[in-house]
Amino acid sequence: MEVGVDVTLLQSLITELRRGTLTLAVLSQLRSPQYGYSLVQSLEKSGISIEQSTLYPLLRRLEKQELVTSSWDTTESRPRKYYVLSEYGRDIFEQLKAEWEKTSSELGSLLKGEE
Amino acid sequence: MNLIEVYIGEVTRRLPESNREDIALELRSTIEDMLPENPTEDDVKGVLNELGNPVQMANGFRDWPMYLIGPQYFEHYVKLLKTVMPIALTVTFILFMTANVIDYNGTETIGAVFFHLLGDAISGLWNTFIQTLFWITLVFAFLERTNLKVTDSCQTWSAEELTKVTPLPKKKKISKFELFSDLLFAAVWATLYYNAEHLLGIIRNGEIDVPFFNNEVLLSYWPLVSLALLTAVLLALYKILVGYWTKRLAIANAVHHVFATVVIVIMLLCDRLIHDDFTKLLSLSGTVQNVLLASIGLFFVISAGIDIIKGFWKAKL
Repeated sequence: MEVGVDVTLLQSLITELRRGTLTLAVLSQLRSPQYGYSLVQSLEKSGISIEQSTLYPLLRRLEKQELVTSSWDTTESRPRKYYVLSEYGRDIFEQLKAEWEKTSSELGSLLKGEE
Repeated sequence: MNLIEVYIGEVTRRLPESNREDIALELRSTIEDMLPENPTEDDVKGVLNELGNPVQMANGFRDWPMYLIGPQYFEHYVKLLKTVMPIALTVTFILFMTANVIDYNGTETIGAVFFHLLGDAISGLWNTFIQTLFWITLVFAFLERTNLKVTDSCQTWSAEELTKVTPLPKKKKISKFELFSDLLFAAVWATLYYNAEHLLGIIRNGEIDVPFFNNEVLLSYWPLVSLALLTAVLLALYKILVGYWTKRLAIANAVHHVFATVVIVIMLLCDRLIHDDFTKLLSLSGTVQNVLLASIGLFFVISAGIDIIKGFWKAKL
């Protein structure tokens, strides 16, 4: 077996597995307003690391999909763009969360059966 | 601090102008958030490394597809190219040969004519190849960037559709030959129309002696004729995409034929269409000539009518 190939394959499978969960993770942190870097830090505190080159485009996409709204805060020393869930985003987040809990418990019992 | 501006520039120059400023502002504030107070150049580099390759960052921001033709259309794209390309090349070849035979005035040796022909043929075919490829690709790249759907079947497929696919009578299908003759006819009509001055008339010594039509009058109808030719080509493309006769195709076919026939009849009704020299040569009385023109018109109306009925009949099979 070629070790190198396995490592990259594993890496791409992990990326694929994580991709969908990142949206949920980001939405969960936006129940209260956050700016980009504070979001990175709060995600990292929970052990979720996200590439910055993924995060900012993701935020923008969520805004375009009207799940979050953004506003510039210029009262502090440097201007910061704050993101927060919209009414619609809150609704979608709750549904996604329920879906995730369902999936993870199903998968949990499925994986336990394997052992 | 200069490195930061260069980095931001590298990202934003790859983005559409409209959201450059906003993204630049956000990136700058993020970078400053990540830096400690009084940062050294190494700190800056560290932060920029964490942000990653500016190309990748820019790609993430772009909501325009990064491909020309996506999976939704690719199958149609290849199908259309595969069908149209051989037809377009054959039509070009036939037209080209005909034009050269007509032009041949007997002064060149056979060898010279052959090499002349070969060179022209290769460049003509190459030209057609590139043009066909270009226009079809352009149309699909455009479709990819709009929300139009050619077929909804991808989204809501059910096993029911299989029952629709299997019992397709052979007569309902659109043959390659039919497509070929459609496109060849369109090309022949176009060639004759736009080159009537050189092609339509009684030819003596390789030149038109008595032209059939008043060229100015004939060409004054160009918007109508061009539109009719366009509908002919669009109809042929539609036939390729659908593959068999449907009611919608029959309706499209009818629309095209009615329009093209109306254009022809309008042209025939113009009393200055026929060149005076030709009228003199035939020395027909006014009535006989009108009867002749009327019967030509009637011929077009009847053949269009037959084709329209055939379309609906095949759609019903």
